[in-house]
Amino acid sequence: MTTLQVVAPTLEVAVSVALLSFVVVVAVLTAVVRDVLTAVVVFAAYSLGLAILWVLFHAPDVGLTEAAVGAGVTTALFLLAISQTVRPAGGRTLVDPRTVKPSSVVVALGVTVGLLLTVPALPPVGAADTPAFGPVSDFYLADAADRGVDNAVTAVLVVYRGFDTFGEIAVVFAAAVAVLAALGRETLA
Amino acid sequence: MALAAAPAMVPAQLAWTPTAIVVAALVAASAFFSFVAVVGFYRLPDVYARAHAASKSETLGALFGLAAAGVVVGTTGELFKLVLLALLVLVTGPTAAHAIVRSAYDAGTEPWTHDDEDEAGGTDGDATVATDGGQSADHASSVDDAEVSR
Amino acid sequence: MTSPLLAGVLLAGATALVALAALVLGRVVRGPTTPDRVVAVNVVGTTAVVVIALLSAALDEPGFLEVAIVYGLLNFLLSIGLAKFTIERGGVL
Repeated sequence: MTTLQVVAPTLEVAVSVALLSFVVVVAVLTAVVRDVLTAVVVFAAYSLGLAILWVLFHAPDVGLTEAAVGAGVTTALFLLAISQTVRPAGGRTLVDPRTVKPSSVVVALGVTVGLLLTVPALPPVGAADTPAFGPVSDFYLADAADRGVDNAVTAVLVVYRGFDTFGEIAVVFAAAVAVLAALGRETLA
Repeated sequence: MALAAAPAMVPAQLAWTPTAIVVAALVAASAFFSFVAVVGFYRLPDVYARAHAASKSETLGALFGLAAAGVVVGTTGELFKLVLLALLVLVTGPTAAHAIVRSAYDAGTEPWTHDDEDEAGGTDGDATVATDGGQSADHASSVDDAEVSR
Repeated sequence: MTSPLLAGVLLAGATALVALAALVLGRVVRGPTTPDRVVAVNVVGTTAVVVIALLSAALDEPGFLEVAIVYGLLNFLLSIGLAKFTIERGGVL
């Protein structure tokens, strides 16, 4: 091992740490910012940070979805909703700590701690006995190519779990119709 | 411990080849201009000036970063995508900044001038603006005028 | 394969850019106006594009570049959408 072969993975860790800190900071900001529009804008930044994280973890498909849905569609829907509201008066940037309900803080902390407790149960990154390295993925990779679909993710989505995807599309379509109906009734500016 | 083993291994990978120097210089330039943009974001007095930092310094920093990646990548396909990305950043960054700033102008944001320095205290960089808070009806009509005149 | 030295340089650059993007968030919070925040988020998005391009080169993953391109387009749409929104909703914003 040369020094740099040690340093390069360390830098990868550094990028991950920087991104994770960024995401945590933005998530907290989304909660404590008082103005709703600022919260939406900050939330878009949160989605961008999370999406880079997915890309760094070699899941570009998830990263694309996160960027399109989190930063794109969600922001658009939030903005449409906010446009129907009135901006509160007053100059405070952050939420007044005295107005925060202690019970909500307790619930948030409880859920966070509960989720963190499950982390040790996860297999280590790259462990050989995880399902991802079992015979199943080999089968799908080989079989998907036999069926003429080059992208394994696409093959799983539209071939092996086609009915599941069909149900998801139905749900998304229903949601889109509902949004359009609601917007049509509100007669947007 | 790693240092002791280093001479026995391939030093060719460690050498600061011309490529590595160029890449390091481009990355450093990218970080520098992005830093300038961040400084501009904090120091400049109003949204018009800050958009300037975003559209000039940040775009230049982004182009340097993409150039660094372009020097490293091997295939023509990747290079083509990076060139496409660079064009995208070059065109969309300033355009987006311009659109945002124009919307700010249409919404009635007063540009910062030297006269404001005394009362607004320009050091904080938060020049106050007519649009903050609830807006009056006459403002809404001025927005309509702007829409019609375009 | 990208040599460790080059990968290290690129990853260091990516780390620096992420840190700078985090600093830009200060302007997102302080505002004081919505256009300030939108410009700042646009800069964060541009930085995201560059970071992904650097990661793509450093980790030898050509597929990341597609993600970067989609980001660039999305970032532009987001900014334009927010800008148009501020014009139309002058009363709220």
